[in-house]
Amino acid sequence: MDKTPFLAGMQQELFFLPAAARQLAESGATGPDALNRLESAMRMEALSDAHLEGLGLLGARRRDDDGNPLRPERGTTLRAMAEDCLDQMQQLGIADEEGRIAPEQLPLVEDQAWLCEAVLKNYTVTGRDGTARNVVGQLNNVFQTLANEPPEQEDEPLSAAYRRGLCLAEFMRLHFWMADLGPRPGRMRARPSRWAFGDVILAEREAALYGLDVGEGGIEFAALVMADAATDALLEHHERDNPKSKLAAARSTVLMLCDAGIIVPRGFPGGVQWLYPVADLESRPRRKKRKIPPR
Amino acid sequence: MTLTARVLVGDDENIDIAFPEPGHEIVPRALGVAAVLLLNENHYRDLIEVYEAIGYDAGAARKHRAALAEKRRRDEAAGRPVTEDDEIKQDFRIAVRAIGLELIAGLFLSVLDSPEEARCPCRVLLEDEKAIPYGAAPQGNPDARADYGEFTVLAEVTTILHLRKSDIDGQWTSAGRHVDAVTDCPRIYCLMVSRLGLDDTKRWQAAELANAQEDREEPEPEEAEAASGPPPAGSPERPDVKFLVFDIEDMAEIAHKLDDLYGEEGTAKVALTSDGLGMLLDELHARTMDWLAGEDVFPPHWASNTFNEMLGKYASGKPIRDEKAA
Repeated sequence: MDKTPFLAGMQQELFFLPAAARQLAESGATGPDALNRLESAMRMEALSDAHLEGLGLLGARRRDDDGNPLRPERGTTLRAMAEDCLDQMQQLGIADEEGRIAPEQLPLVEDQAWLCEAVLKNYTVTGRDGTARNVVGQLNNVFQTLANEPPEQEDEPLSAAYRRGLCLAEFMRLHFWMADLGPRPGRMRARPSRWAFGDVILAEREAALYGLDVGEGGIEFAALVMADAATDALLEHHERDNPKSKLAAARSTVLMLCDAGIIVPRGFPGGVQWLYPVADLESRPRRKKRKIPPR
Repeated sequence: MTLTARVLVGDDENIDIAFPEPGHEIVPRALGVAAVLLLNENHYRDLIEVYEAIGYDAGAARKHRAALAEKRRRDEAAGRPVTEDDEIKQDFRIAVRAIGLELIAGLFLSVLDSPEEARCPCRVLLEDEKAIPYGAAPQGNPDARADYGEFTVLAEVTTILHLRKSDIDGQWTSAGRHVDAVTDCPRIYCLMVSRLGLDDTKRWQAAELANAQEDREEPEPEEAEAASGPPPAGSPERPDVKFLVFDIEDMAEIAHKLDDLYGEEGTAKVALTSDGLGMLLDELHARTMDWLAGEDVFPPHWASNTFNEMLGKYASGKPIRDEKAA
């Protein structure tokens, strides 16, 4: 399962990690045994239809050659979830490379606040330059960029461009963008601007809405146009990252970040959902965007 | 009793938020309509009818409906058919699949008499003190639970369109775990709701029910060992667990019947109490097990027809069991 650069691939329950960690710690299993142990725990506790439906693996429109819904076998799904779970515990610093959990680590993992903090601090995407960058920090930078613009107003549909949440395509693109960060040919190795991705998103949203007559669709029609344009941009700019195959990973990651209290989806299921920050951006001790002085 | 459906939602035991928001009243019939609409797994239909029917952020529903209508108008005016590209874009619009049947089941439990508490432990967004469910309950939770004092009713639901045998197995395994997790109630009814009812020709649900009930009625090995003597003092008794199988249409039919009998213009003479509900569920379970023992094929909609017939008798003050049959 290639979930790069997302935190989750299939396993989407942040608060399953304590149960998984306990299983590993008590069994002392490592390597392939650790995976078997996790798979067994998944079978017993974690996999439900809601998981699979949430990822779009059930109820999918796509059909196989016989006309049946195209979805993975439960056994395959369980194995992939176990591998994902182990990888998440390693990413978050809960387990070592062999899947070993230090006894002193277990009480920490069982503390939900600690686990949320671990996601906040340890969820990173490594760029082409080998630098691991914090995803939540980058997400907040984008939210801050959008928050620096005038707030959207329902009677001004084109102000949807300043919506302070990201659609799924934008959320995915942020990850691919971070994974692509690195020195450009012929350029000095430079740190990307804190606001760079937010500026890209903002410019693309404004371009998508330029001259749009929303008719009777109101501000949500503008938002729909914007989200579809974001999907086009994602598929165009990141074709080699194969975003279509990573929808389940992106949705799983969204759910884990929701569990961690970092983002929350708004909007209507079946319409377009937007991912908003949970924390009040204003209260974050961050630097303001640098203003370019007038020449 | 009240026939306005309301549940507590929230994935944390400390979060008790009423859904839908005060002022939005849902009658059982609306739940029945919503449940049946879910059967077609058409999320556009869900959007415009189901969610709004159950009070799911109706304001947002209206705005999104207008947006989608505008898009459709433009596509039709341009003579543009739906393409694969459009379907891909739809996939990228949804970050988290919202819940559906579990919330409907929770609301349904809330109108079967007046439970002390009905809960759907889904993930919710709080907006201006309004609860907006956005994701399924985290692992370890039943889809819905209602406590009636003397007994507890759990609902285990799935909306999978093309159920495989392994899906049914999964649903029952999950139900078994959730039943085992209830340690504070001696009587548990667990409603198994899916597209397949007892009348399914493959008899998958009927077979699972027979197995599950047999497992529950067999003593645990340690109990069997100790059966010759009196149980040790302080040892917990196994709860009395009864599984009941409904298809989604059964649930809808029962919701309609509840409205007919106990709605605003209902004809019921006898109020539905928790004792009454317990008696109806016990009787339905007993009749189901009799059919299973006789290895008869269940007629279409047997579960809802049987329950509704008994409910009708109960509401009019007649005995629910036919004297001749008894």
